Amino acid sequence: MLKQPSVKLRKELWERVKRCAGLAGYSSPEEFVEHIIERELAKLEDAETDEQIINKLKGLGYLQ
Amino acid sequence: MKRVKLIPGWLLLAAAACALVRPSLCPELELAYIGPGAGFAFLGSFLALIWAFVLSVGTLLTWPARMLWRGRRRRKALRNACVKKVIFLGLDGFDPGIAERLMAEGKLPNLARLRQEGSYRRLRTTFPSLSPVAWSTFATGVSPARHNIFDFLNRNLKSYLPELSSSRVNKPRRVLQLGRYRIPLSRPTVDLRRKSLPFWKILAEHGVDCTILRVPITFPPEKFDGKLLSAMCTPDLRGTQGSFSFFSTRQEQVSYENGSRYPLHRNGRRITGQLEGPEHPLLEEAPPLAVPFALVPNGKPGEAILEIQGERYPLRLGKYTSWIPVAFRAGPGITAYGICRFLLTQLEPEVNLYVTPINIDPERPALPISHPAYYSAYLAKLLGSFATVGMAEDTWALNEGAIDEDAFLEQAWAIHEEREAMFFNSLAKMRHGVTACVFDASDRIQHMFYRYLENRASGKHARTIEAMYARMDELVGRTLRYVDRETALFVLSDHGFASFRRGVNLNTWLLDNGYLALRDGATTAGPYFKGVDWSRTRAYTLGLAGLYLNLRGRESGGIVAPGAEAEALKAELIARLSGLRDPDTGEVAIQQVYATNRLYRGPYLEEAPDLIVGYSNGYRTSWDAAQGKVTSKVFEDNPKAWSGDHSLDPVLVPGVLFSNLKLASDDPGIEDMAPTALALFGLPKPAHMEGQVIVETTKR
Amino acid sequence: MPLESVSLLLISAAAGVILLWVFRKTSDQAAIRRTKKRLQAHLLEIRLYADDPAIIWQAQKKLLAANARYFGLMLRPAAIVTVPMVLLLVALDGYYGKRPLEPGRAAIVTAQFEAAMNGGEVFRLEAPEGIAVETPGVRLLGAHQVSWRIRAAQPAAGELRLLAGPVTVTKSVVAGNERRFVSTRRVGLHPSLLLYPGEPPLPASGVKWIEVDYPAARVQMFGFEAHWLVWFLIISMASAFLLKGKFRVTV
Repeated sequence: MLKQPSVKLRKELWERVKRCAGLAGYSSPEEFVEHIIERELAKLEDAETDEQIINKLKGLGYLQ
Repeated sequence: MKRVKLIPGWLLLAAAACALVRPSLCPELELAYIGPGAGFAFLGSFLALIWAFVLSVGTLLTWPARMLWRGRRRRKALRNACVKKVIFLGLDGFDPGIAERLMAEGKLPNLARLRQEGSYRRLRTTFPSLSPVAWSTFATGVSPARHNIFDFLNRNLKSYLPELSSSRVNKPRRVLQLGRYRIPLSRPTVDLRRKSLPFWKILAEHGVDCTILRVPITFPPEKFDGKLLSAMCTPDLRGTQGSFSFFSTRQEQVSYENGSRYPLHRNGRRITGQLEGPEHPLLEEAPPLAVPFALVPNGKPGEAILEIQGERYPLRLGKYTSWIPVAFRAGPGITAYGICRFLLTQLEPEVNLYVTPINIDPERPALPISHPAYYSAYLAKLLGSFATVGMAEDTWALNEGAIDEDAFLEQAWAIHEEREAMFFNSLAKMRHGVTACVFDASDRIQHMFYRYLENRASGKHARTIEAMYARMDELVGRTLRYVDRETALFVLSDHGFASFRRGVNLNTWLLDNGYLALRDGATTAGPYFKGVDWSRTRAYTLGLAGLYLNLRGRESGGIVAPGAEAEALKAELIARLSGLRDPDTGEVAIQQVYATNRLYRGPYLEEAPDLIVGYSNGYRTSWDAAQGKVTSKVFEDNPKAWSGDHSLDPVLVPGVLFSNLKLASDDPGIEDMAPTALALFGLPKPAHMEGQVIVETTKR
Repeated sequence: MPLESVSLLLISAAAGVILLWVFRKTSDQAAIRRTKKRLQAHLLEIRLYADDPAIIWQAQKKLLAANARYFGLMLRPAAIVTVPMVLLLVALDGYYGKRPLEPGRAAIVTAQFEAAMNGGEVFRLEAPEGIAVETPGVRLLGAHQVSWRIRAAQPAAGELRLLAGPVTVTKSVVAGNERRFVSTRRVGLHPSLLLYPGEPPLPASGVKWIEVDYPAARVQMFGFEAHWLVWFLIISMASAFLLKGKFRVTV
C-alpha cells in the first residue's frame, strides 16, 4: 500500500480550517481541504467528454 | 489480496531434500506416492492444517495484546454502551401504507409483534426520496448537502453530460503507447464521491465491530476496522451498472436500451455464440474480450448442454443455471473473472438464451468490492457465489421482454437468499457490535409489479407484492431469534412506494415556456441535451431529482446570474410548476417544488439540483427527461413493467421504522439512525451530524 | 544433461499429465471444488475474526472436518491410479534406480529356496564370461537362502546359472558402465511378479527367487544428483500443477 501524500499547512491556517470545518458541515478538516482543492481542480481540468461515461450508466434501473 | 496457497513450493523442496538426505526413505515414499492428485491432496491439506494451526496459534498468542490495544479504545465506548449489539435490517422501499394495511389484516405477524412490543413509526426520508441519497444519509447522519449524493446522476458542469454520482473511475495517469497497445503504468483508481463520515467508521475507531452488508453507496469500499460488502453502484464486469445479454437464432432488428442482443449460429446440432465481456485493457479500438460458448441439445425435450470454457452445464428451459464462472483473458496474467447465470427461454423453433449481467466474481474481484478485499472471497467460498453488481435484480431484462415476470422474480429471490445467508452468517458470529444489511428485493419487486397492486394489470401476480411483504416479515421473524435484551434491532426502509403511471418531461415544459432553447429551430433534442442551445437556456432537468439552473460561473455555458436573478428565476419556476396539471387526466401532477437552499445547508449544496420537484402519486420524471431529452409532449403514459416508483414528493413516500426499543421521537428521520447508533454505544453525536438520537440511552 | 535425465524428465512430465487426466475422470471435481472452497473459507475466517477465540475454535473444527472430507474425496482417484502407478514406478526403478555392475565392482547374488535345506545339497553358480563368481555359496539355513559374491571384470550381459542338484535356474546379469535396464530379482509365478516384471517367471523348481544386488543409481538433473524418485515426484507434480488450469482440474 502506497503512503498517501500529505501536504503541510501553516499552523495558524490549520487552526482556522479546524475551526471552520465543523461549522461548514464537514465531518473533518481533511474533508474540508480536499473539497476545496477538488473544486478548484475541477475548474482547471478538462472535462471528460467521454461517451463511455454514458455507457457506464447502462442498467441503472431508473434510467433509460 | 493474499491468496491461500495450498501447494507450497517449500514443502515440495522439503520432501525432495528429505529424500536426498535419506534415500532409504524412498521405498516408503514410493508406496505413498501414487500420483500428483494424491500428492497435492496430501501436501495441500497438510499445509492448510499447518497454516490454520499457525494462524490460530498466532492469533491466540497475540490475542491478549490485541485485546489490550482494542480494549483501550473500546473501554470508553463500551463503558457507556446501552447495548451489546445493534442490528439494522434495511428493507429498501418497504412502504408504510402497505405494511400498515397488511399488519391490520394480520399478514405480517412478526412486524406487528415488533410494533406492539417495541415501536413503529413512519420514517422521514430525504429530499429527493431516492435510495442512494437516503441510504447515504442513513450512513452519515447528514443531509445530502453534506454527503454530496443527490441523485443517481450528476451532470458534468463543463459538458452537461451525466456522471454516476457515487463513484468515479480515474483512468491510469501514465500509459505507455506501443503501436496498438496501451500499457498502463499506473493503476486506475476509483473514488467514492459520497462525502462525510459513515457511523460505522466512527464506531470502528472506538473498537466496535461492524459488519456492513450491501448498504447502498459503499463502492468503492472505504477502509475501516471492520467488514463491508459494497452495494448499489458497484459496476458489472463490463463497467456498466448491469447490462444483460440476449442471444437468439432469430435474425431480428431489435435493439435493447440497456441490454445487448447477440446472434446464435447453428452449426449442425451445435448452436454457438460469443459472450462479450469487458473492453480489451491493452488494445486500442479492439473488440471487447469475448468467450465463445455452445449449446448442444441433449435429446430430451427442453434440455440442452451449455459448453463454455471447457466446462459443461445442463440447461433446462425456464430454469436458471447456478452462477457460472467466466474468465476473460487479455494476455498472460491479465484475466478478468466474472460470474453470470444463463436462462434458456426458448429452444424450438428458435433458440433464445438470456444471460444476466456479468457480475464481478466475488472470489477473484477485478475491482475491490469489499473491505477487507478478501471478505467477498470469504463469503463466496463459505456460502456460494453471489451477485455483486449494484442493482443486481435485472429490471431492464423484464422491461424489455428478454425475460418474463416469473424469471425476474426467481432471480430477485435467488439474490435475496444469497443476502440472507450473508446476513445470518454475520448475526451468528456477532458477539457485540453492529450488523447492517440492506435487502433490495422489496424495492425491485414493487417497481416491477406495482401495476398489479392498483389493478392496472391482472393475472397470477396480483398478490406478488403482498407475498413479498409476507416474506420480508418472515425474515424479520428469523432475525428476532438473534435479538436479546442487550440487542437493539431497527427494521427500516429508505422510502415508501407509489404508482408511476404518467411521466413528465420538464425539459419539454421548459422549452414550451421559454426557459430552454434548441439550436437551429429544432423541436426535440437529446439524449443528454444534444441540440440544446445553452446560450439561451436558463433551466434544465437530468436524472430523477429535479431542476438545475444554467448558472453563470457554475455551468460552463451558464447564463443566469447567481444571486438575485437566480433566486427570482427559482421563485418563478416554483410558482409556475407547483400545482401543474396533466391536461389529459386533469390531475395535479406536481404538488410542490422545493428550493434546495431552503431544504438543507452544507458544503456540497452547489452540486445539488436547484429545485426538487415534488410529483403527485402516479407521476414521475419521464424516462426521456431523466436522460436529458426534449420530446414533443410534456405528459406521457408509462408503458413499462417498471410501474411503481418513489421519486415523487418525499412527504408522500416516507419509509418505515420498527424497533424493539421504545423510540423517544414521534417524527424520526433516516438521518437519525447514525447518531442513534453512536449513542447506543455511548458515543456522542459529532458536531457535523444533523440527525438526532431517537432512543432513550441508559447505561447497560 | 545426460540422456537418462532427459528421458526421466519427459517420462515424469508425461506421467503428471496422464495422472491429471485420470484424476479428472475419476474424481468428483465438483465436490472437491466445494470442499476446497470451504477449507479456504475457514482459513479466511480465522483471519477475519481474529479477535474472537470462539469463532477461531469453531473454524478449526470445521477446517478439520473439511480436510477429512477432502481426503475422503481423494480416496477413489488415488485407489484407481495406484495399480498402474506402482507398475510404472517398478519399471522405472529398474532403469533409473539401479545400474549395471561396473567392471571391478562386486555384488551379492542371493537365491531363496522354498523348503528348508538339509545342508547336504550341492549348489553351484555359473557366470557368463566377464563375470567371476568369487565365493562358494554361503548358506543361511534359517532363511533358506544361499549367497555368492560375484565381480564384474569387463562389460558383459548374460545369464547366471544356478545349478541345484537336478534343477537349473537362470537369472540375467549385466555389467558395464552404461546405464540400461536391470532386473534385480527374478521370481516365480507369484503376485510379486508384478513388482519384478523384468524377467519371465521361474519354472517350478524349489527356488522362490534369485536376486542380484545391483548398486543404487542416482540421477543428475539441473546440476543436482538425487534418487530418481525425487525427480519424478517433483517433475510430475510440477507438470500437473502447471497444467491443471489448462486441463481444468481441481486437486
